[in-house]
Amino acid sequence: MDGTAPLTREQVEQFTAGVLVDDFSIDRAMILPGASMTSLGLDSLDLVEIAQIVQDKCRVRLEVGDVSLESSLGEVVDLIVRKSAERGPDAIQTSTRR
Amino acid sequence: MGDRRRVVVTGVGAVTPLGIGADVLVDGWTQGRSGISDGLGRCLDFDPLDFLSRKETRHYDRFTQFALVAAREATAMAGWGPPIPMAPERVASVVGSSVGGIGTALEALRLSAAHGGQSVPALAIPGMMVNAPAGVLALRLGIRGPSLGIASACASGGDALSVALRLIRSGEVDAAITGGAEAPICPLMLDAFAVMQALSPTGQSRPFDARRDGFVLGEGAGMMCLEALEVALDRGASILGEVLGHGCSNDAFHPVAPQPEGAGAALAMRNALTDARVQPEAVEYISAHGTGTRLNDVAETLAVKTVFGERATQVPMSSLKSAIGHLIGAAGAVEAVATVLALRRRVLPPTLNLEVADADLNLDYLPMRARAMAERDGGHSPRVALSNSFGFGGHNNVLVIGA
Repeated sequence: MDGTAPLTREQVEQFTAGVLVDDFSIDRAMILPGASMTSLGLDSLDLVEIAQIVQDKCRVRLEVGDVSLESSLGEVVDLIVRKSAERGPDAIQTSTRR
Repeated sequence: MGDRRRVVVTGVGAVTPLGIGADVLVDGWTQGRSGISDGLGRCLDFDPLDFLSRKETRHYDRFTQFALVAAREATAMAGWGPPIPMAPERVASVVGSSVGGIGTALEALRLSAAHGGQSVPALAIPGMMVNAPAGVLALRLGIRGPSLGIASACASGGDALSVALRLIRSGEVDAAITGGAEAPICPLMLDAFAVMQALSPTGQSRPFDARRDGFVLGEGAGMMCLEALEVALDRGASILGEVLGHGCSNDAFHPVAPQPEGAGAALAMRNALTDARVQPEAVEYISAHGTGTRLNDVAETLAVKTVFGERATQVPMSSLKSAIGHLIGAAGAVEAVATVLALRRRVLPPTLNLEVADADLNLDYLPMRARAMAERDGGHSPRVALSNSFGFGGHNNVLVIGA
């Protein structure tokens, strides 16, 4: 994900699952499209962290309110895919984290 | 003596440059091993992922990680569950630190400067705050009594134990998890201590030696489970030692330099002995603050002479900082932990690197080698030691420990 091409749904699914397992210690078996953020044990500060990771790695900016604790993982993936397709070359940012 | 609650130690834990564990620390120190390398007392054996998840590791600053791992050892030793074997609202968490999560603060600053404010980590504030270990310990242990971060520079760890002692004695709580934690090793802290000439430019920790030229910066944590004696006895806990008393004072002399005669330190030692109802003659060991700065070691020596008079030369004292460096806000707690275990072993631990005598420093600093304590009363009655901690800001803390 170098930030130049729109991301495929498969890429985003793989990426989000990786973040949830590696960075948030969530059991891979719980990572299903219908799972809500709350059901994954995430809180509002976790969502801020996830938005920062997404911005850094996917070059996609999630605004406050884009994702809520009731959002499903499938909705979050859809959102990242859509924003990735919408972004112009100007939106590409350098890595901010890690 | 039945007029106030006695406060006993039922668990100890430490993460230090000598390794993970309180016994590891005292083994290394008494065997004369140093945890200092390249002029720093780093906890090279410490990998947070051995104890914490990736998420926890990301959220807790290194100083909080140290506190959690030391507390885990202490609570396991004390048999504190989970669940904790006393009413959770009757247990306190009190942890000292001088600069708190400075690593988290500096990383947040770096990200903000480089990439804008939106890139500051979501948990920067709870990571950097000096009370983080006290709060996180309460959360993880489910304890709901008073929960305090204590900041009095290099006296923080000792002062945390003092506050816990007061809380238990007063009856406000029955037990406390308490100690100190610090992770200060970063260019800013090294530069800042260096410019004020507190840091050893040679990277050698040589307390009480004629060649001493400052302290070596270290990191780590020391934690203790303290309980009211009757609570510990009721639940059949093993008792490791007792915090007999404490004394606190301030030099009211200078922002960082000790009062040259050690007047504030002597006041704290006297306050501690009075509070503990212990005669100076009963003290058989002093865990010195012993930083290895020119000024501290002279002032501390004079303070001991003021308090113990003629007998000062017969009270052995040594500095753990010779083996692990100066753990700043963790120092007093780590030294108290080590003192409990050294007394239990009936061992007087050494001051390492003390090879060249200073004409002004003529007490028994236990140079280079540990000694056995003289046997007394068949070896069963508790032995008494002081643990000294003095901090920038003029803060002095002295604990009286029996074991």
